[in-house]
Amino acid sequence: MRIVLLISIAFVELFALSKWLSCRLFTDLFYFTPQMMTARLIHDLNANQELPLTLNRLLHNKVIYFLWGSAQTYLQYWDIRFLKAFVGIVGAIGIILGIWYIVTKFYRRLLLWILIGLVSIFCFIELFLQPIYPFIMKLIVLGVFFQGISLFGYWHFLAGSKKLRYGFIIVLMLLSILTLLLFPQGYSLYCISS
Amino acid sequence: MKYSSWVTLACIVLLGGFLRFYQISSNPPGLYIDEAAIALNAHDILTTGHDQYGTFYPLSFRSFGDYKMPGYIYLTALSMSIFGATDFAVRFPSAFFGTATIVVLFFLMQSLLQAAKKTKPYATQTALISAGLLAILPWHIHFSRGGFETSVALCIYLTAILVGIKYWLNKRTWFLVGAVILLALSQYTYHTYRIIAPLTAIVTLSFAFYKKHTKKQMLIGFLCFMLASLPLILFSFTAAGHERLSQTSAFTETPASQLIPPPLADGLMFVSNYLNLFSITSFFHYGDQINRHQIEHFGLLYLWQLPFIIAGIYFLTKTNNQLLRFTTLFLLLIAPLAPSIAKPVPHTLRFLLAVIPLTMLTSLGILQMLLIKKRFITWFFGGIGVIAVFSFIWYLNAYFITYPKDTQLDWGGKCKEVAMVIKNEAKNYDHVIVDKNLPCWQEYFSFYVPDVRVTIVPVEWKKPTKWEKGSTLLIRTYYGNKNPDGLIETVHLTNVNRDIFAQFIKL
Repeated sequence: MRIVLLISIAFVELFALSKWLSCRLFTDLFYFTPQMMTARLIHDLNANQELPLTLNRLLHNKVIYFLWGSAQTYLQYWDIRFLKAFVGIVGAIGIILGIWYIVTKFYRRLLLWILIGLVSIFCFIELFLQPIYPFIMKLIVLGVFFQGISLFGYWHFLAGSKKLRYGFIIVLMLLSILTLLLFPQGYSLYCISS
Repeated sequence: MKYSSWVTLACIVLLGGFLRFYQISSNPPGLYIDEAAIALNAHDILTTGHDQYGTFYPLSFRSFGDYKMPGYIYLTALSMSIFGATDFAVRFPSAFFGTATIVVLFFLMQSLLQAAKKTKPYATQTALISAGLLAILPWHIHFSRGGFETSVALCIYLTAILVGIKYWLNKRTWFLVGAVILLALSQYTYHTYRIIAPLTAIVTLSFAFYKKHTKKQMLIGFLCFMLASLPLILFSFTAAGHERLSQTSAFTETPASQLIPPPLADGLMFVSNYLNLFSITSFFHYGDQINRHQIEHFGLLYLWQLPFIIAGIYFLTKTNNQLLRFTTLFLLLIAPLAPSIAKPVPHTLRFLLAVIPLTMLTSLGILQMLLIKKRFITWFFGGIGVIAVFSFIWYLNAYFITYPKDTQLDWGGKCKEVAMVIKNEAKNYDHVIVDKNLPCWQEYFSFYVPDVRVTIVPVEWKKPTKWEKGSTLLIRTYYGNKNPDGLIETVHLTNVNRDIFAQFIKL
């Protein structure tokens, strides 16, 4: 039963992912560019002219803005609104469960951390080297890893055959399908179509 | 509680109060339109006992085709009776109740943690961490500094929860009565609580019934809540009562689908909105992208809180303190209910209640980490501490220096400046006319210059022939001519280019 449910989840997630095939590029939300950083930095330096120069530069400099801006942009890949559009509601909840189990139960398993690490690294590559890889390749890599984490989450969530949890996942799958039917253009907020 | 804990709490409250009251009249830069409407109604109530539309001590205040809850307006009237009709008086209730929320959260956390043996030894320290966090939290500071009703409603609601917890632990009837009356009162302050407060009452009374508290007490609680809510219930059945919901309903945006029937589509919209409110980028990056609601690119919470929030959830799953677990999760899950049925989503103002469970989770996460007796934890806290201090200084810089300059047009500071020029110039003119394209509503002039009759006119307005003999002052927005005929004064924006906001022209 658990396997059947996991396969069903995988299909629902693939249904969500299939909508992204018409995309060419993620929108600006996902990229942190030197131009954006410079524009924000110049704006803030100008706004803080009354501060002593040293303090102004201590608070507003490229290192801080780079770290701050890239960390904030990186969060976009883990945002529930994006994940809902990317792998459906069921996938988004699965990713949360997957990370939860890795962090709380399996924190000693290196392989799982490598899985999370790979997704994280991929996001960073995407963040800074935006146009050099074909979008379809990004979709496959990101899709496979997100699906992997999600299915891992559900695999452990369903351990012990608790009926209520099975029911919960079936409801989530139904919600995902209906939401994807009701908002067929949901992905278009996050990608530029070809 | 030890003397040192009282001193620490006092310091936290002083810091929280300072962050909420410092430069409150000038930052945020000016009263925004809802604050101006509140100010005007409060002033009318204070001086005449009637609102703008002539209703005697109304239960709801008509404003921009909408109806405002009365709580904040009456509190502002009280504040105006002490501080006069000033910007400070309009914002005072929000800042005062915002500061009080810090104290309430401290006692709430302390009561919750003291409810179980295992968590009792950490009760005061963790409660102090919660209070300290709330004192410096951007989301809560922001809404405590503007004339936002939600800040007052949050404090009353949280006090109701605190008194409810006291009842739960002591089973004294008067605690129950106090809790349900406070819950009912929160509804009179902000629309969101018209949904959240009754649900809280229902859930709490149901649980009490399930846990076999006396039926007599339950009945008293129910009756008190109904009695205190009765005027509002009656109001809800009128056209004005559901005006707000029909104006902001998220379901008007549900896409039509041939496959999915409308009620189901509305349900899906609700689920989608509910989940969207837990957007990580909304919490830590964009907020709701309304400049009045947060500093651009700063987010609502500090980024360093994220690992502690996860650790806090972990703590809740492991703890045997069921009351703490139930209360935190209940607040976290009930907070998005009302914002999910309104648009836009996310909306940080309507979702402000979430600041409480998120602060509780952060402090529980800090406790959870502190309980790990390993050497790396010292380094971890050292690192996070440096980031936290820097983030706080950065926030102060962004809020007190950059924000007022960036958001002049989102708030009404320039309209106040225009009103002050009118105040000085009006005596020289027979008529004062304001171009409709200038983003200043009538409420600003009615509040700041009540003695001057200011008329707002459309762009195509021409001076009537019967006014030819008299002098007229026209205040208009910038239409590309820096020196039009008859220009007597210009109000500039305080940006690098010193763009023109308004021109005063003698006709």
